[in-house]
Order: sequence, then C-alpha cells, then structure tokens
Amino acid sequence: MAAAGGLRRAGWRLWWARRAVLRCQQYPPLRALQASAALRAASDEHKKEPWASSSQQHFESPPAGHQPEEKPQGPHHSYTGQGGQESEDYESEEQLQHRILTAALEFVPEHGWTAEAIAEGAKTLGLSVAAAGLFHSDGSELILHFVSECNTKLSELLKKEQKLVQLGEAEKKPIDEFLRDAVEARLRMLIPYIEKWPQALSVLLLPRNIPSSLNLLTSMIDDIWHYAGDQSTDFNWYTRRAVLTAIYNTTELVMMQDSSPGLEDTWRFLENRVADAMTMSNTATQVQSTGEAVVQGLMGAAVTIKNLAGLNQRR
Amino acid sequence: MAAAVAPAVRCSLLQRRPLRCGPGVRAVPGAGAALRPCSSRVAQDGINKPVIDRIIRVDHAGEYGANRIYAGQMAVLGRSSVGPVIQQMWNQEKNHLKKFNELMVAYRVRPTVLLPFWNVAGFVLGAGSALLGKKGAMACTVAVEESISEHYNNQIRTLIEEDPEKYKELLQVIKQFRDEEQEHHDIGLEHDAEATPAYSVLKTAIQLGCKAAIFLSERI
Amino acid sequence: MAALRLWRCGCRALLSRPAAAPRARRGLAAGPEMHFGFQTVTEEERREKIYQVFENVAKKYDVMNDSMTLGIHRVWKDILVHKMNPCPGTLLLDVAGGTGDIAFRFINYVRSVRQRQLQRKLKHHQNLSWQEIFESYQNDKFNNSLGDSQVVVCDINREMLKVGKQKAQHLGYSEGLSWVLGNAEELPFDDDKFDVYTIAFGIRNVTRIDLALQEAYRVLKPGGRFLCLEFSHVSNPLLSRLYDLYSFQVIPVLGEVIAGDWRSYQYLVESIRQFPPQEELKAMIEDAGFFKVDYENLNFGIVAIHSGFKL
Repeated sequence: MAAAGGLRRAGWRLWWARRAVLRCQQYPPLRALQASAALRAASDEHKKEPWASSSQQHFESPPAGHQPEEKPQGPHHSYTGQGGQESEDYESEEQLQHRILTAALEFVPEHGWTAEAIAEGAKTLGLSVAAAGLFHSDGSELILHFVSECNTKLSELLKKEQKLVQLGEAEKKPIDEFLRDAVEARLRMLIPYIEKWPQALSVLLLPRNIPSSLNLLTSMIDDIWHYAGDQSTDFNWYTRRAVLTAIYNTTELVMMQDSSPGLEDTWRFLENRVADAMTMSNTATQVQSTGEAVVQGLMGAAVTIKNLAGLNQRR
Repeated sequence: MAAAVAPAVRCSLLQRRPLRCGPGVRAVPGAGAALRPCSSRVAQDGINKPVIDRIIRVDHAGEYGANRIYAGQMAVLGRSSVGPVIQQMWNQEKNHLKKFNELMVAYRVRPTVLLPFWNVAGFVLGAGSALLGKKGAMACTVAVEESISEHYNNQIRTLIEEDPEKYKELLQVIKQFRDEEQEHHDIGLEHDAEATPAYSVLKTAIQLGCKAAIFLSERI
Repeated sequence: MAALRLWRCGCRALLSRPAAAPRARRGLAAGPEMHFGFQTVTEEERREKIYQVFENVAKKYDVMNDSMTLGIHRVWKDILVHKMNPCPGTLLLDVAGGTGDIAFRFINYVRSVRQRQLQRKLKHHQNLSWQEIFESYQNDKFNNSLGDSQVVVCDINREMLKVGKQKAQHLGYSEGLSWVLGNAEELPFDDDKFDVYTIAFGIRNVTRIDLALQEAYRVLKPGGRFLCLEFSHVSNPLLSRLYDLYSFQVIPVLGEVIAGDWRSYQYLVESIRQFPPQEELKAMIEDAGFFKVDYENLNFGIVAIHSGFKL
C-alpha cells in the first residue's frame, strides 16, 4: 500500500523533472501573450478593419529601435515557424512593453516621467493599471524608450536626406550646416515634453541608467557624423564625436532654460558653437601644418650640423 | 490522477507558437523590465557586429603599428643596404592600412583609442631595433610578422566557424594579408635575423608586446 | 503546572525534528494523500485541519506573528505593498488576507499617493480663486480620498474575517474595504475583475496550489498583477541551520505560551518546509499562464515575493 503510494509519487517526480527539462529547452519562455492578444483582437474587431489590411496594423508600432535584428526580416509580427497561415496576433513581451511605453508618452506632459504615466498608457491599451509594475517605478524605461525612439527617427530622417542627395534632388550641405540641422532636428523632438525634460535628464544620470543612456547618446552622435560623411579612421574619430557631444549636451541644457519665442536663443547658441568647432578644427589643421613645417626645419638644421661636423658617413 | 494532470497540462498546451524574444539583443542593465534600448544602428545583413568590430579594429591597429615600425626602421636604416627591402615591405603595409581604412568606414567600426600610443611605440620599436643593426631590424620584423600571421590565422578560424559565406570578402582580404605577412617573415629570416645577438630574448619580448597590443586594441 | 506543560511540549518539539525525511514531499495533487506538515493525510482531512488551525489561532494571530518574526513581518508586508506601487483607482483582491494587514497597508499607501496627486494639482491651479480651490479640495477629499481604489479581502475562514473586521473598525478603516468569505481554489468573483491579486502567507495553506493560481489568473484583468508573499527556502547552509533551530525549537514553544496551542504552530513550521522552493513556485506560476514571473528573496530566502503578470 505504502509501496504503491511511494511508486506513484516517484512517478510524479519523474514527470515533473521531465517537464522541467522540457521547459529548460524552451527557455526563454516562448509563449504567446494570450490576454493582450485577445484585447487587441477585440479592439481590432471594433475598428472593423478589413481582413486584407490586417497586415497593415502591424506596421503601427514597429519595434525598430529595440530589435534591429528583426528589421531585415521585414515587417513580421508573426514569427511563423510552421506555415504562415496562423493568425498574426501573437507578440513577445518586449513588443507589448514597447506598445505600453509608446502609449504612455502622451500622458507625460501631465504626469511627468513616472509610473503614473505608464499606468495611464496601459489603461488606453485596455490593460490594467497594474501593468505599470512591469517597469521600474522611477520611469527610467519610459525615458530610455523615448530617447531610443527619437534616435531612430533622427536616423531615418538623415537617411532620407542622404538618399535625396544621392538621387541628385538636393544639394549636399556643408558640414557645419549639416551638423546644425541634425542637432536642431533632434532637439526639436523634445519640445512637446520640454517642461518635464529636466526631470528626465536627472533620471538618465542615475548610476543604474548611465550605461544605457551613454550608449544611446554615443550611437546618436555617431549616426550624425556618419551621415555627415565622416570617414576618419584615426584619433580624429574621437575628437569629432567628443566635440559634437559637447555641442549637443550644452545646447540641450540651454534649451531647458530658454524662454525666448520659438527658442531662437537656443538655435543661435547652437550656431555659434558649431562655428566655434569649425574654427577650432581649422586652427588645429593649421597648427598641425605649422608643426610639421617646424619639424622639417629642425631636421634640416640637424642634417646641416651633422654635415658640418663630418658625422654623416655612409654606413 | 488524470484529472489532476489535465488542468496543469492544459495551461502549457494553450501556449501555441514559439515566438522570438530577441536573441542576440545586447543585455543592458535596466532593473525589472527586459527593455533593450540599443543603439539605432541597423545591423548590416545580420552580421555578428561585435565580432566584426573587434576584428577590424585590431587589424587596423596592427597595420597602423606595422607602418610605424617600418617608418622607424627606415629612419635609421633608410640609406643602408637593406633600405630597399624595408621600403618594399613598408609599401605593402601601407596598402594593407589603406584597405583596412576602407573596411573600417564600410562597417562603421570605431578605431582604437590607443592609436596615438601605437604611433609612438611603433616608431620607437622600429628605430630602436634598427639601431641594433640590420640584423636587429630583421629580427624585429620576424617577431612582429610571426605574431601577426598567427593572429590572422586565429581570425580566419573564427570567421570560418561563424559563417564562411557571409564573410567571404573579409576572409579573402585577411587570407591575402596573412600570406603577405608570412612573406615578410621569410624575407626577415633570409636576411640573417637569427644571427642577432640575444635573438630569442628580443623575439620573445617583442612578441609579448604584440600580444598585449592585440588584447588591448580589441577591447579599447 | 505551566512549567510541566512547557517541558512536555519542548520534548515533543525535539522529537518532531525533521530528522526523518518526510514522506509526502510536495503539497500537490499526489492523489488523495497529501501532507499536513510532516504528516500524510487526505485532501479533505487537510482542509479540515487547516481550517481548525486558523480557527484556533485567529484571535492571537497578529500577536503570534509579531513574536515569531520579531516584528519583521510588518516590514515584509510593507515591502510587498511598496513593490505593488498601486496608483489610485486600483482594485485589489487580497486572498487569505484574514486579518487585513495587506488591505490596510494598501489603503494607507493609496491615500498618501492620492494626497500627493492632489497637492500637485493644486500647485498647478495657482491662478484659481480661493473659492474654487476650496471646492475642488472638498470634492476630492470627501468623494475621492482613495481615488476610487478598492480592496476586497477574501478568506476561507470565518473567524479570521471576524478578527479582520473588528480590527478595521478599531483602526477606523471604512471606505474602499469589503470582506468576502471564499475559497482560493474557487473564488466567488467574475473573470477579469481585479487589477492586483495578492496572497500573503496564505498560499502555503491552500490544498491545491495550481487551482488557486488558475483562479488568480481568471479573476485578474489583462495586464493585472499577481503577487505572492510566502515563506521560502534559505539556500545559505549556515543560516538554514540557524533558521531550522529557531523554527523547530522556539516557535512551537511560543505558540504554547502565547496562544496555548503548540500543535498549530508545529504545523505552521512544518508546512513551511513542505512548501515548494522559489524556482518551483515560479514554474507553477508560469504554468498557470502568467508572464514575467520573477521572485525577490527577502532576508536571504526566509521569505520570497513572487510576481507575475497576466499578459
């Protein structure tokens, strides 16, 4: 009796172990998000979208910034392993988080970069306000998401401009104008949230967030220089990016305190800084060529002295 | 018992299709949420960016250093009998550097921060070894080229393990350069490199330095 | 007389050390036989025994909690509510929440958040007249000091609920609070109703944990959160030994002295040992359909908070 009970329990343990192994093989959890999928299906029916355009709605919030690996695959939200006829309603946790954060952005001017804004955003998607618990309570993810989205938008803008220039439909801008326009375009994306942006900046400086925010900043600056046509492969690579980072950061800070109409003061400040940088680089080139000339002169003098002293023998 | 099993199994069966949860996405510290605010850089054709970054960065640094070493050697031995030999090898290195400059721009790779340092160190090494005489310069060449050939071989192996098809062009370039570096190594041996006083000590020291340089340039 | 009682139950406590490996390991549906502490009983018997345990301890439940955990349980519960970070308008279901600890903390938290919200709103309304400001403050204060948040306390044990209601009256909690008699394995609520489901130190006593988890999944809204605060397994070996010593030697004695019932507290300590460890419970929660399941160890694993979302 006891033996039978013991055997049964042993069987259960084995079954549990097998399931644990199977789960390990599937890890990370690759499961469909049913509840949110059901919500989206319901909201889709509400909108009465025709079946033909069902693939369009997946273009609404492309997870461009986060998942660059998926971009080249094309506009799939359904990661079909077997056949393509299954419905395209399933999404990963990251995509859902992405959607919540995007929805939360419109509540930021009112609630600030906080969990409350995220909760409101979740509410508009039909989820419970408790979904804000998916994120940290200080709103870091919301801010990082926003910065990432802005960078993506800037990158696309620059790419479009580059294409126009390549097709010959637009003039190639001189470097200072290009840099100025790129930084201005990027800073203009902050205007709707400008009141709460100082709060966001301070959150981005928290030690926990510094690696991510630094990463985003450097990749944005690198993008701008890349599209500006920078092809340096020496230490200039660093100098240029450092200079542009300084320009961007200082202009951002000026923008926070600017109360002039249309932010004219900020744009004028930006223009001056870019002009300074150009002058600096010109000066640097001049210094370098001067330096080279001096070195040449010294070498010539040394050779002359050697000749005079009779040391310049053939080896 | 079957009834007890059924509900537990039912839940996991409801999870229908496997989804991608972003493999290879860079892990970024962000407590709680699995957000990955990566750069907006688009991977070109799904290449393994971190690996390619490192390879190109360290190769560029290596060719830059080699350039400076030959420059140093030429500055001392330029008018000696081995001058033309060194000049020819230097020209090949200049070509290598040019090619890597192009690759660096194409793959948008960051150059190593230590470039100014390699600038000076390479020149000093070249000039210093040349001051030990012609044999000394050749010994330095042999040591450096051997290091570099081995390093290129490792890289070729890595790329082949990854995906030989995707990296065909890069593999070709590295293979060709490796062969040329091997040539330089043989030229150095031909010119009595081994007859240098304290040859083994010199060679070991230089190769240690090269290994350190490679390690640092890959990361910084 | 009391000394003799103490000595006898001390001996019994010594004898009931977990030296012999308990037979039924996990409290899952291993057929009709289950564990009750280190004993093996049927499902029905287990339910009855647990009901009696809590019927007996209901009046002294809070005192015993304080003495057993040296008051640290308050910190654990505070951490749980802090982790929840509820905003006004949240609907909380606190299961096995008998004496209302989590519910009261929730109400306090939401009230303070609401106050801060109102203050911020007022700061923005600085150009309103005094009359308007007063009115808006009045309205909010009397209609909405909780911002429409509500908490439902559900417990299977009538005695525990009674104690909870008395406490609420005594402490002055009236609005936003309701008390429901119900079984965690079969909740008397509709689907998709609540924002947050918490179960603090209760899931250990549920006979069919998987059913309770499924019910939790059912009653939560999409996006809703499941939070479970429970005793768990300590991995640090030294600490584990000390913890065992304290659990099996001190706690039943305290139970006898304070509540006059060492058997119930013996059960309590044994049931902690029988409960699945952190990873296993996490797997069970995932099986019920929750996503982003994670746990946080408090005090090196003596207690763990598991969290999952219905996505």
